[in-house]
Amino acid sequence: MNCLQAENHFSAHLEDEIDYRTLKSFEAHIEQCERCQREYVLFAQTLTEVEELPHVEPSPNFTTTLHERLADEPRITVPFWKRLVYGFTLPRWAYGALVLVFASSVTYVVYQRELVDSNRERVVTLEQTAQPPEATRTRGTALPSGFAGTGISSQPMQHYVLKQVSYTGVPTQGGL
Amino acid sequence: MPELDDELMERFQKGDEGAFTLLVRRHERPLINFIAQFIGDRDSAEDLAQETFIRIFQAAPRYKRGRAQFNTWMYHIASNLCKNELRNRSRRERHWVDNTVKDDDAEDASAGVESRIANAPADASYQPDVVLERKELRDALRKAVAALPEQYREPLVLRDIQGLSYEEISKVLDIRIGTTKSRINRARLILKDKLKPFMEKL
Repeated sequence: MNCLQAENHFSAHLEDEIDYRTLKSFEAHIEQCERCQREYVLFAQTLTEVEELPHVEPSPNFTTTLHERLADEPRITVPFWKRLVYGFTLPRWAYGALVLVFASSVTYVVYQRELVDSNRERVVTLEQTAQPPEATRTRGTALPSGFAGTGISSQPMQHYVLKQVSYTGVPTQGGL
Repeated sequence: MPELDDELMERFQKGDEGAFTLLVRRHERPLINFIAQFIGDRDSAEDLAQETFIRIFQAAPRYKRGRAQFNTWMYHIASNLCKNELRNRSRRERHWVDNTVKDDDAEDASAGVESRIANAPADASYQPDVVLERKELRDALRKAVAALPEQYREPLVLRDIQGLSYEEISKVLDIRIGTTKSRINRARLILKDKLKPFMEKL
């Protein structure tokens, strides 16, 4: 450590805010440098003098004058909602927790609603596929004789959305 | 147990003006001292301190507990007002103050030197030449502080005269703690060099 570097650590040394390695290096330099020893003592004395500077006191009419000036200032009325917001003071983590709870609640509600909707769709579809074939056949128009015994009814297509049909065994007679 | 500044501000926000008066009483002395040391002018210091309290009065509804300490907030407002004042002064003209921050002790010292000599006790600090030398030193110190560049003077006053911590100062000035420490060390080194002739006499 040289003299310039040592000067930069005067405050830290005086206020005991110096790390161990720097302290050792600083003390090693101070021990062998008379100039820095003198400067360090002067530095400490200066600091004491600054700290002991007499304080400037307020004049006796300071508060009175201030109150007169404040009387001219419009009294700020805080709206109720603002007072509510400013009055509602919580630590930061509590605000975070509140946001988290709110977000989880919204997610839960949305998820539940979607679950109910999808269950309802499934129930409707299952009900439709579970209808007895006789009933559907009676409502539809009669099929040509070639479709008899294939399991295909004359019901409109939308009723058979989920039904798998195999055409491999159906005699098409050159059609299709 | 005295109420915290934050609690007083909350009471004031709810309409209790007595709480604001308590805050003024609590902080008027350190605030005036800070401003006087920073701008080097006692009369303007009182005006600026009043202006600071008026700003606090006006901004009170926006004050939020926990966001900043009342202390650092107050010094931050005062610091900005002081910087504006110094800027305006240098714009008007170099109307610097020599006659301004009066050292009450020093005045008493020169006025009371004779009476002290008359009652001279054994204590060496009461010797007239020592008293005068101390007065000289104190005057020189005040001038040296006032002559410091603004960026060094402000943290030095906050630390060594007002007794704020490095963390508080870095918040007031909105600079990093490392910068605060190095500026304060630099300010002390400048003062040490300027006071060396006086110190060596003592």
